Order: sequence, then C-alpha cells, then structure tokens
Amino acid sequence: MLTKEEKAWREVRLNQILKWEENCPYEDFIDDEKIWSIIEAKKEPERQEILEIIEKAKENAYTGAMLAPEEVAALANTKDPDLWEAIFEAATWIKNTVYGSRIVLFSPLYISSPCVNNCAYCGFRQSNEAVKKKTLTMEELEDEIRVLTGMGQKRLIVVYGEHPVSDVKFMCETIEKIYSLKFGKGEIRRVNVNAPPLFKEEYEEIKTVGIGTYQVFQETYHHETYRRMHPKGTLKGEYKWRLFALHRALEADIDDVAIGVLLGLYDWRFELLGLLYHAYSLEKEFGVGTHTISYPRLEPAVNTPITTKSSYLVSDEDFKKIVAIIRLMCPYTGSILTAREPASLRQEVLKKCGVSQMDAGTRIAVGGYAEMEKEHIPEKQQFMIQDTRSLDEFILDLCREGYLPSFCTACYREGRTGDNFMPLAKHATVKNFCIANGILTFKEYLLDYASPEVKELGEKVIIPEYLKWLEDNIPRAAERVKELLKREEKGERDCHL
Amino acid sequence: MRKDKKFLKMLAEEACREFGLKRVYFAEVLGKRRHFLAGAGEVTFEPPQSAKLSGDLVVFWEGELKNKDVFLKFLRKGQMK
Repeated sequence: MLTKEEKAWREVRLNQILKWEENCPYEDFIDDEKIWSIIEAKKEPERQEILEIIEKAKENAYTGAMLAPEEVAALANTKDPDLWEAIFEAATWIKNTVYGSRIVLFSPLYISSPCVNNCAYCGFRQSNEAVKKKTLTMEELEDEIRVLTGMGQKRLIVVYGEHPVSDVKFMCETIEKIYSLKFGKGEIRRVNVNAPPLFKEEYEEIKTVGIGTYQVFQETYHHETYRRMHPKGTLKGEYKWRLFALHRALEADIDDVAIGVLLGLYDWRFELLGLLYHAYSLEKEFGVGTHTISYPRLEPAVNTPITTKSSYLVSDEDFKKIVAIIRLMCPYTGSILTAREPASLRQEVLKKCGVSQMDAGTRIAVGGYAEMEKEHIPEKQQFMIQDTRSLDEFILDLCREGYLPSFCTACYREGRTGDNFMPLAKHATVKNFCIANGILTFKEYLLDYASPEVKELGEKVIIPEYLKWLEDNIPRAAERVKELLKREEKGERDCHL
Repeated sequence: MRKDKKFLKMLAEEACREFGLKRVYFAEVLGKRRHFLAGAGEVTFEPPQSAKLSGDLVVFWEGELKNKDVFLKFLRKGQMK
C-alpha cells in the first residue's frame, strides 16, 4: 500500500503528465488497425519476396536505412525453415559488417525498487508485498560498485523505480557517485540509465552528469494491452506520455536514446512493427536513430501470475526469429540480449541473430552484487534471471567461439555521440573503432581480472586475431593500438582511440 | 563561449581548411561524457587529439597538426567573432 505522501507525490506528477499529454506536440505513431492490416496482408509471403528483403537488408547495412513495415511483417510471417536459415545468416552478416565480431559487455545495477506503479507483470509493482522494496544507500552503492569493478566491469545500466525516493535529484547523485569511485585500477566509465519517463527539464538535469544512453521501454505498443497492464491512475498508465519519453529526452539534447519491448504481453509480430515505427519516429523528428533495441521476455516473478500465464509468451524458436528480424529491420542499432535468457539459448542467439551487447555475472536484486554468492534472491528481484554464468565464465565462452569481448566506452568519451556516432553505425564503419577499443579493453581485463584459462586464450588467440584484422584494414590504427598495448602492459589504463 | 551548432560547424570547416586537418569537431564536457555539438570533415579512424578550449568546451581533431598553440588561438579567436 502506498503511504499518504507517496499518493500525494503520484497525484501531483500525474496531473503534470496529463497536462503535458493535452499539449503533446506529437501524433501517436502507433495505429493498431494499420499494423494488423499490414501483418494480415503479408500472411503468406512468397519465397522470392523474402530473398529480396534479405538482400535489401544487407544493402541497408551500408546506408543505415530501415526496412519498411510490410517487409518486416513478411519476415515475421515466414515459415520456410530454409528461408529462416538465410535470415539468420543475414543477421550475423549485418552485425559483423556494422560492428565486427565484438560483443560489448555490461552489467545491470538495480539502485531502487520502490515504485508507485502497479504494472501487472512486474515483481516491483506497489501492491506486491511478497517482494521487499529497497533503495541503496550511498554506502551500499559503493559496495556494489566495489564488487562490479572487482569483476572487471566498466559499463553499467542503472535501474530505478518510479518513486519519490528515486527522483531526478537522487538519480543524478547516484550516477555522480558511481563515476567518482575508483578501486585500484577498477572504475565505471559509462553509466547508461533505465528509468521512468521524465519531463524535458528533468532530462536536462540528468544530462549534466554525463550519462551514456537513456532507455525507456514501451513494454507493449498495443494500446488495449498497454491499458490492461498499466492501471489507470498510475503514472505508467499514460501511454502517450511513455511513447514520447525519448522524444522529450532528445528535445533536452540527450542524444543517445534506446527503445525496447517486453515480449510476452502481446503478439510479437505487432511489437516488432511497434519498435520499427518508434525508430522511424525518432529518425523523422530528430534525425537520430535508436542507439539500442532491447527485447526482454517475460520471466517468472514472485507473486506475479501473468508472467507464466500470458497467452502471448514467446517460445525459444520465435525469440530467435525476433532477434534476427530486429537486426535486419534496423541494421545500425545495438541489439541487447540479457541474462534473463538461459545460457544455452544465449549462446545460440549470439551466434545466429546479430546480437551486439550482453550482460554477464548479473545480479538483479537491489544490493545483489554485495551478496554475490547468491545467484538469486527472489524476494528482492523484479523477475528471475536464467543465465547465471560468472563474467569470467561468460568471457571464456565468448573466446571459445572466437568473439572479441569488449568493455569499450570510448565513443561517448571522445565526442562520438548522437549524430557524430550515428553515421559511423549507419555506414558500417563504427567497427573500426569497436575492434581497436575492444582489443584495448579486453587486454586490460586479461591483465587485471582474467582466469588463467581466459588469459591464455585471450593472449594467444583472440588479441592476435583481431590485431591482424586491424592491420589488414586500418594499419595506422593498428600501429597505435600496438603502442597502447605496450603501455597497458607497463601499467597504464584506459587507453583508447 | 558560443556553443550554437551552426556556428561551431562553420568554425570547424574553417579550421579544417586553414590547418589541413581531416576532421575537427567540438564537444561539451558533461562528467565523463564528451557530448558532440558540431564538426566538419571525414573520420580517419585514427586516434583523435583533443584540447580544452575554455569552460566546458573541448575541440577534437584528426590529422597532423603542426602547431597546436596556433590552432587553439585560431579557434579561440573565432569564438570571439
């Protein structure tokens, strides 16, 4: 139950939100009927049509163009297994063409779980008394960062509930605190944010502390489903407020924004088109695409029956298709696959669906990293995670498959943000930076944190292989990387291009 | 310091021409983030050099620069226009 103060805070904010919606300068770009008519019209696509869409998607990797809604619907309705193999091959090709074979690593960090919303699928909903809500103190936050940096992590997504205890001021204070901490050679260099939608003035405030990307997931783009999942009278109940959350962020000049859906709430084909229309709208209004797309699936949460009973739960087979289609429809975007998914499925999706970012060694309870030996603390978690490999175990698996594990945070610290970053991703040249900085950050990991097995594989196979790629493609950058590797061996850190 | 993007883009174009640089761009310092404002030229994929101009404004450049002091003086003077 919310306290009187919490209710009052919610009411004031809700009124401000309603006022914003009344004067909203944007048209709702999600037309449910139109989306369904597109999906229906492309119910049985011809083989030749799919092959042509695949070719077009590959060409788009060099221009940053996105597929049309009809083309995405056709892919989503494809049934022929041979065509699916061709789609998976294309997804891998596009990802490697744009970003190279590097996988960027990050950790989610839950900072607060109290929330005034009551979303049907969320373990942190205010009415769920089976989950203990908690907000980290500054001391506890420091403990979490000590553990995370001790693992070798450099990049976080911090997560906040929508509540007066975790308002913008608190968000700024905690992010500044994270950036200020240094434990030996360990430090966090990039903090991305997953938090509730804000007003433009609030985004301007959070921009000043130097965040990476601001994520807001629509959860579902289907209006009626959204209404059922997010009760009226709660802040999250306002569809339009959330739909344009990132438009307001861009108005405030936060130019790296990220979208996502929670798969399992509604038909995944509809959600794919919702993501596409969202990316279109950001392009149209601001000329900057979405930095990443996330596609978490519903996972069981304590005392949250819908997470196992929804009639739209997504199977593993469909999940692979969704991730691959996202890569084809929006070739330039980062694609985030989280530890919600089991290890074996993650390895498969990694290999065939064009993923570019993954988390590992993840703990999602508030304060969970300080209790590292416990893989799960269900009564403190929003949902359950499935991949419980440690960061080092995960890196070993990446290396065995020939990927370059990357802790790179260089772009946003070298001014390659917003429309200075997007052309690199849209013209498939960002990999030139990704590989160079991936090598340098992986070397740091090998020097400071790696197990003997990872160290051996990294030094003998992965680094030489990717240095060779760099020598063949950008010889002057390769020379510079070699110099910087020597400096890292002598103890210098944070060398990057 | 002037931070309007149109002006900075023109200044970057001028600086590229004047100093034979491949690329020049400006960014605002926000904590660890260097927030892109405007720039000109082509990316070389070689490490950019950077220097503080004034306040929270930094300049990045790619290509060979013979005299950094003259370059920074040029930009600061340009900022005064």
